Amino acid sequence: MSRFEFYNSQGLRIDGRRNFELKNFESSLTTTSNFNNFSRNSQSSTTYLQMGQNKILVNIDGPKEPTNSNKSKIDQDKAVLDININVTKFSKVNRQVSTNNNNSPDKQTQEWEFEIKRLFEKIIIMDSYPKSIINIAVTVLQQDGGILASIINCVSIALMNNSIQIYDIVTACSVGVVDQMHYLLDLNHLEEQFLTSGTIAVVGGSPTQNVEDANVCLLSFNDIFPLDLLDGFMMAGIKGCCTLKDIMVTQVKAMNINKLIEIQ
Amino acid sequence: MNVLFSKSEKSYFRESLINDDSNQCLRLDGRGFKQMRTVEYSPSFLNNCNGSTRMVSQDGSEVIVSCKVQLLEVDTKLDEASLLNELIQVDLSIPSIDNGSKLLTQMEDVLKENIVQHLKGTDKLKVTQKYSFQLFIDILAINCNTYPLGLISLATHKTLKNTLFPVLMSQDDDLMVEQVPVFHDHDMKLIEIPCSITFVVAIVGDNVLLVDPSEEELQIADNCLLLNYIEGKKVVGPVRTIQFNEEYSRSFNPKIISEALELINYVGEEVYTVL
Repeated sequence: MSRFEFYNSQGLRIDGRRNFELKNFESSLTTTSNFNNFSRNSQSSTTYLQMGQNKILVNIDGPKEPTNSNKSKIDQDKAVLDININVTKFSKVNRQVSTNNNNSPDKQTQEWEFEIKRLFEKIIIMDSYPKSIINIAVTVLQQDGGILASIINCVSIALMNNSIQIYDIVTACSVGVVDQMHYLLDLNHLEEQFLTSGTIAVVGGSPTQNVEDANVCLLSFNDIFPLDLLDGFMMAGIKGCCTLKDIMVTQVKAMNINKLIEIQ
Repeated sequence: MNVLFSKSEKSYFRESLINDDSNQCLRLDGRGFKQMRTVEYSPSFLNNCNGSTRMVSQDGSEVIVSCKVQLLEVDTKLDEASLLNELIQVDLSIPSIDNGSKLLTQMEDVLKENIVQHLKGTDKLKVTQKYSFQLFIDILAINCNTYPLGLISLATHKTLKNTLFPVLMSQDDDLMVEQVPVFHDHDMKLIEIPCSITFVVAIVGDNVLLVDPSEEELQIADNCLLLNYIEGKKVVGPVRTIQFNEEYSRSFNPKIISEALELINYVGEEVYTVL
């Protein structure tokens, strides 16, 4: 038993949220959008996502013709996806010093890269961009639990902002279990550290929260998970993802209206 | 850096800059010769760090600077210069350039020198007799379209201006008594760390100077000067030169340095008033 009370009798969590309450979700299309008229490469704009205390930047370059260095990767029929995750040294409270001197990403980051690449290869309509490469550069500026979910959400928004064809929007959120009965949505770093938790990503699911339509496309657990709780876990996760989808769709619409006004 | 202009385009661009007598000609992106690019910035946006800045330039280059403060037990045998070298740690990373590249090392060096130089003789980072603050300045340049040193140094300057330090609660004299410094739980204070701003000036021909050059302008410049400016003292050393292309690189008239100094005195003052 840990010394924290993660879910008290009033139904409140450490940070004052209810169990199914998501963190503050705020995304913005930034930077180059204001200067689009001057910018040479106007297609590269940065998407900034703030999900609670998670702060993530995603920059999509492409689809474009591969440069010399990665010409060997080229595929005649469809696009090639290249994902690069950079977790900055200052993203946690204490500054991390990498042990390897050539700054290659650690095991955890490489695993995320692989998972996200596999996920989005199925989401993006790759056939519509033959012989080209799509570079996705993710920068994690600040992390506070559930970082994999945040990265997936941000990449999803960035793809929409960059008008890359996708089949559907992917949303992800993290879920934890307290006392084998309560499910907590969208964890913070304390909860993530002490609770049994996992990340779930969902594709589909209509904006009216029709849970039956949703398909789970990524599921990852950090530690041992009791199987009898899996059902509740999935339901909580899928509901969370559907809610997130609503929020994302409204925010992306608002962003693009603003962008239109700016251009005019 | 990718090829942007063909050979004839470059030549045309260069000629039109040099042969313009009135200096009324506009640059490629519509700026005047003395004009910097527009920047927008958001200060202190990371609450894990003591100070942070996100700065975006007109051409889409984006720089994020974070400053973290740690406590370091000082080795009293060190002299001032090597101590300051240890207290200020600059770490620059640009995704498109691999780590350990000479260009990165050079930029890190310039940035570190900008801070260390002005800290000599002051004890702003000193906490007690034995302990000192150590600054970790992490810089991340995303999406950079040109030589980013100018933008980075602006952002670093801005970060150091809004970096907050913890307030010491215990006594500051601990030579006799062995004690670990204790800090206030919430209260933070501002210590102004002086930091000069580096300006990049491209030299084209005999008398054309371009402030904050873009990539296309760097491709046709004879040479580039890196000049440091700090409030009150005007332009301070060291002045460096750097080349970015092979076609047009050549030596320049020494007289143009004094012109450049005047130019930066003027531009630097303007920039300081804006910041």
